[in-house]
Formats: sequence, structure tokens, C-alpha cells
Amino acid sequence: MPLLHKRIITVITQKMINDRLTTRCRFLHQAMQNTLVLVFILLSSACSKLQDKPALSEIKVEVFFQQAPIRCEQIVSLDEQNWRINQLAFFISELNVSQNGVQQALPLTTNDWQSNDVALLQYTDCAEQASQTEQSGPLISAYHASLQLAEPIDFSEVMQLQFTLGIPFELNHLNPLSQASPLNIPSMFWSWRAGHKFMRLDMLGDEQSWVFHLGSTECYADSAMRAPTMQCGQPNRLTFDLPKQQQGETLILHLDRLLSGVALNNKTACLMQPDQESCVQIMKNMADNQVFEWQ
Amino acid sequence: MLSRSVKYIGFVVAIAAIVACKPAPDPYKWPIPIGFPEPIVPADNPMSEAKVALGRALFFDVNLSFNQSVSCASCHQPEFAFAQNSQFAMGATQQVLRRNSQALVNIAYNSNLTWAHSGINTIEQQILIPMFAEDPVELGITGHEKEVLNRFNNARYRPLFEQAFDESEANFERIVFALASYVRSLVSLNSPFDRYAYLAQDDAMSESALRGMELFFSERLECFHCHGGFNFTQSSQHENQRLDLRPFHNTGLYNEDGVGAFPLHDQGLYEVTHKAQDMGRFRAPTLRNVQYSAPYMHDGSLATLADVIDFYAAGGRAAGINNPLKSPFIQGFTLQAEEKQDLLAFLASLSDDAFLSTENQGKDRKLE
Ligand code: HEC
Ligand code: HEC
Repeated sequence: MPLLHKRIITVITQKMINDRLTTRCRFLHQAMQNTLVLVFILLSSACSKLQDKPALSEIKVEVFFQQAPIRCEQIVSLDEQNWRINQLAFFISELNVSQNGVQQALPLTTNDWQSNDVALLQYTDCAEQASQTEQSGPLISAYHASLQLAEPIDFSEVMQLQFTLGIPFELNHLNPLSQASPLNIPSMFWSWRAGHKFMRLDMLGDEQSWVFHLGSTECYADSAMRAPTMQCGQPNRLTFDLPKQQQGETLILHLDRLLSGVALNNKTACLMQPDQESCVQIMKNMADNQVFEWQ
Repeated sequence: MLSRSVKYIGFVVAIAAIVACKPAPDPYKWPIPIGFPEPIVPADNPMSEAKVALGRALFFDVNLSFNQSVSCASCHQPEFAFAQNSQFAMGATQQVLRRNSQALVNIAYNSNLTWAHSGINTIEQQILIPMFAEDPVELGITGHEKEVLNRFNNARYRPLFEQAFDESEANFERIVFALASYVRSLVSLNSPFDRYAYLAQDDAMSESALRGMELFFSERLECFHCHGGFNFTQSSQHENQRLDLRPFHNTGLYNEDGVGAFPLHDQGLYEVTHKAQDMGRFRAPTLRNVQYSAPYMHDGSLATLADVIDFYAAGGRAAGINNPLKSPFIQGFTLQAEEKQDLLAFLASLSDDAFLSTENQGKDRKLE
């Protein structure tokens, strides 16, 4: 079936495109294109003036497994079993740097992946990326791996990077319909009461699957669709304070360190249940196993 | 200075637009309660009342099938939330389709169309399938294009095309655009649940439905992991939310060979991507109005909502329970009889009676 449909679709959409271009709005298309070119030229000349210092306007965020970056769909071996990332995404907020003991907030640009100085990083299906963006118009692919800084910064003097893995309480329990992306993504949202999943790691093995969802617990409200008025009992917002190892260009999440000591199988999923052993181990790793590293 | 020139350019573009095209009609008013986001609409097929009206006429018109036997509405019936109350759909040649007719509820928000396809992202693309596909035949237009088109170049349709496209002649592009506009207009966001959740009316849902809601959003049942967001499907996008999430899951319905295969005649997303892990993966459908769209699942193999709940409680079906590719969120659970009633009451609270009234959606407004 798919083949046949594909053929029909390509033939017909091609025909539609041709038809459309011969309508009376053709010259408008042309005009818009010219305008775009102009805007581009203007913008690029305006920006080059800002780039005097070796300032960075983004921090790459990479996922490593045993000291090497892992790509989408790559198989990793844990406990002699094969595992693959099915979905990995997490929120970073309250990004700061400090030099000589003075803290400075790093505001983030606003786009589909970042708003209110909260950023979503996501590592899913990079193989699909090309095909998705090419034909699907408004769709944005599921892979995003950098923090975009509102003001470029020169990291040479900076010693420490601080951030929160999670979303501040004031932004965590709002009506997702009225929030800007990425604070309105269903797969990263539990409910108004519990707020967002701060980190989501869904792993797929050959015969088993395993998931870890980090978020606030012990949140009290009248129902799942009502927001808590008071801070949750266990906010589970994790803060990190990392010394700079190299130029400061890259933040690394070490997946193997995050999962160290956790047996992955159908029974050990960590969805923030109290007393789940895997949760205890992961929270311990987050606290003292250098899960994040700033290079 | 930069922003000035940008403004100026914007101005020029605006003028050019006014000169190039006729003045735009009033913007389309979505039947959306305040606070809900608008769907994303392809730039080349903006919504208009006139297109929706034409699309509505076409949707219910058997003249769109080559032998004048079926219309879109034969398989998508308003009283069943635009689904069909039979397990499989049947096309114009009586050929049986392998899948259950889908409900058409809030599909304007869907980022992926059909039960399982990562490459069909617009309704305009999707509609070509029932119109032109040859195997299986649905409307069966292929090979009968002229004949079918001629049925729409008449006194009844010419004014409708004129109003919708400023051209009175029917062609397939216009038919597809109008049909897409009509099915896009089928928006349902006015259920008791919406009044409770989004309009903060504490008494909009029954006590039982509220208990069911707690179950639905619990880690014990895990329903919301896949049926998340305001549309109860991860496959949603709107004006403020454009990130793509590839929302396909294997729910453990089958396991033909012990290592995860679904029946050969329908293997879900795998047929499209040929990736092993996509075997048996389907899109989580919206649960809005689901009370009315039985039978359930891509192959209509579960007859009632009670069956669906039993299926999830068992962690899948028969050998499918041990399907190695099954989603980690399908683990099974035990429900007390009362809890099951509560969950059913919650699912019923997602029904929007105004949406289901045929009067609202076309039959009565169907042109003679
Ligand atoms: C013979 C029965 C039949 C007819 C006729 C039919 N459909 Fe469908 N429709 C289906 C089935 C079955 C599916 C699911 C297809 C799949 O998953 O492969 C579907 C899916 C759809 C979807 C995708 C919905 C979603 O949520 O992704 C849309 C839109 C749709 N049909 C619109 C139409 C329109 C418009 C017409 C008339 C031009 C039409 N259909 C005619 C049976 C039919
Ligand atoms: C792993 C993701 C996942 C979870 C968890 C999940 N569902 Fe589903 N649901 C799906 C998918 C995918 C389908 C479509 C399956 C198919 O067509 O084969 C579906 C179908 C359904 C349907 C049938 C809809 C229709 O139109 O045919 C209902 C009802 C439903 N789910 C309710 C629930 C409830 C209630 C729960 C919690 C007990 C739940 N689901 C948990 C993914 C999920």
C-alpha cells in the first residue's frame, strides 16, 4: 500500500504545485523571495559587527556513553544486553556562569525550543530529521542539542557553569495550552498537579524496555487538572555546578554514569515511585557521579 | 535602522499582496472555545467559510465515487464521531479495507495522519488516498477522472466553487482543498472534561468521572503517557506547538512469531519506515468522543470500551502481552469493578454532544 500511495501523492502534489504556480499570485511569490534575500543580507551584515570577541552564542549539549558521543539509534551495551535510546529529552533552566565568585545569569533566546529561559534538549530520531523537515512544512524535527544564548558570551574568564535540570515551580504547573513552546509539549507533561517531566529517558532493549521520568512528587491539588498552590514536597529539581574543563563550548550528559548501578528491565522503570530502587540509585548518581560535565 | 528597513519591506510586501490578490475575505472563525490554540493550516489552503461549505457538500455526496455508491460519509458518519460502527470499512467496489474507519475529531491538530504513517502530515495528502487509491478501492476515482469531475460542473456546485475559489469550475485540486477545509473544521473541544479542566468549572464532571480521571492520569494505569495533551494523543500540533514527537506505539495487540511480528497484512509504522523497532507501532488516537466510535483499534478488533480497558489491564492481548517491542507503558494493572466504571465515566466525559449532533456537522445542511 505505501508504495502505491506514495506514487499517487507525488504525482498529484507535483501537479498541484505546478497548477498553483501558474495562478495570478506568481509575481507575489517572486516579490517575497526578493524581499527575503534582502532581509538576509541586511541581517548578516548587522550581525557581523557584534562578533569582535571570540564570544559563543550557543553551548552544545551532547550525550556520551563511555567517553564517546552516541548518535541516535546507536546500540549501547548494558549488563551484556543491547539497548537503544527511544526517547531522551530534558529541560534546563536557571543557567548561570560565575567568574571569581560573581554569578551572572545567561538569558536564552526565545524560539520553539526555549522560552522563559527554559530550554528543552531532545535526542530522538535524528535519522528521520531530513525527510521530516523537507516535506512537512511546519513540523520541526525531534532532535535538538544546543542551548542558544540571548547574548553571546566570552567564556575565557568564566570558571563555573550552573544550571537546574528541571523547570522552576512558577512555570511548572501552568495551563499547558497557554504556555509557549517548549512548555506545552504533551509528552513532557504529566498534569497540572505534577507539572512537567524534567527528564525523560525511554530505553528499548531487544526484549525489554525501561524508562526513567524525573519530575516533582508529593504535589497537592484538588485533582490532576488543578495546580498546587504550594511547592511540592519533593520538587526534584536538580542543580549542577560544573567547573570548566576546556573551552566551555560543550555540556555533556554521560548516559553510562547516569545509569551506573541500575539494572535495566521491565520491572525497574523509574517513574518517581517512592521506594523504587532504580530511582534511589539514579538520584544518587545525579548527586555524585559527575553525570554532567562542562568541557 | 535595521528594524526600520524591515518595517518598510513589510509595508511593501503588504501593498504587493493587496495589489496582487483580491481583498481577503473575513478571517475564518474556528469553532474553538477561548483559550484553546488554533490549528496550523497549510499556507496554500487557508480556511474560509466558503471552502468549508463546499467541502461539506462534497463529503456527503456519493457522486465523488466512480460508481456513485459511497461518499466520504459512508465510512465517516457524524453520529459515530465520523467513524463507522463496523470493524472494517468497505469501498465503492465492496472491497473490504484492512483497517477500521477513523473518527475525524480534531484532525486539524494531527501532526501525522492515518493509523500509522510518519510521512503523511497534511490532510490534503491524506485525502488523495480515499479518492484515488486503487488497492484497496475506496472512492475509486482513478480511471474515471473526467466522468467524476463532470458531475460537479453543474448548477448546484458551480456557485459553491465560485464562492470558495473565485472560479466556478470543479477540478481535483479544488475538491481536495475544500474537503480538507471541511474535515479540518471538525473541531470538538466542548466536553464536560474541557469545562472542568480548562474553564475551571468544578461541577462539570461527575464524582465518578473525576475518580476515573485520577486513574487515567496515574502511574498505575499510565494512559496519559500516550494519550497526552489536550487532544489525548501525542500527535498534536498547534499554532504554539510545532515540535514533532513521532508518537507511535506498540500496544501488544499481537505477537505472531514470538519475537514481536504483527500480522503480515498490517504491521503498522514498520511498513512505512522498515525499521525493526517500528513493528506494530500505531498512532495513539484522540480519545475525544471515543464513546461513540466503536469498534476500537486500527483493526476494530476490540468491540467496546470495556474490552479496551480489559486489554490494557492484561498488558496486551494473548501472545502480544509478551511482545518484546511492546511499549514500556503497557504493563498491566488490576482494577476493581467500581474503578472500571469510573474510568468509563471519565472516557464518557470526553464526549461533546454538540459536536455529535448531525445538525451541526452537515447532514441537515447537506445540499439537495
Ligand atoms: C471506504 C471507507 C472510507 C472512505 C470512503 C473514506 N475514508 Fe477516510 N478513512 C478510512 C479509513 C479506513 C481510514 C484509516 C486509514 C489508515 O489508517 O490507513 C481513514 C482515514 C481518514 C483520515 C485520517 C484521519 C486521522 O485521524 O489521521 C482522513 C482525514 C480521512 N479519512 C478523510 C476522508 C475523506 C475526506 C474522505 C472522502 C474523500 C474519506 N476519508 C473517505 C475509510 C474511508
Ligand atoms: C503505549 C502507549 C499507550 C498507552 C499507555 C495507552 N494507550 Fe490507548 N492507544 C494507544 C495506541 C497506539 C492506540 C491505537 C492502537 C491500534 O490502533 O492498534 C490506542 C488506542 C486506544 C483506544 C481506542 C481508540 C480508538 O479510536 O480506536 C482507547 C479507547 C484507548 N487507547 C484508551 C486507553 C486507556 C484508557 C489507557 C490507559 C489504561 C491507554 N489507552 C493507554 C497507545 C496507548
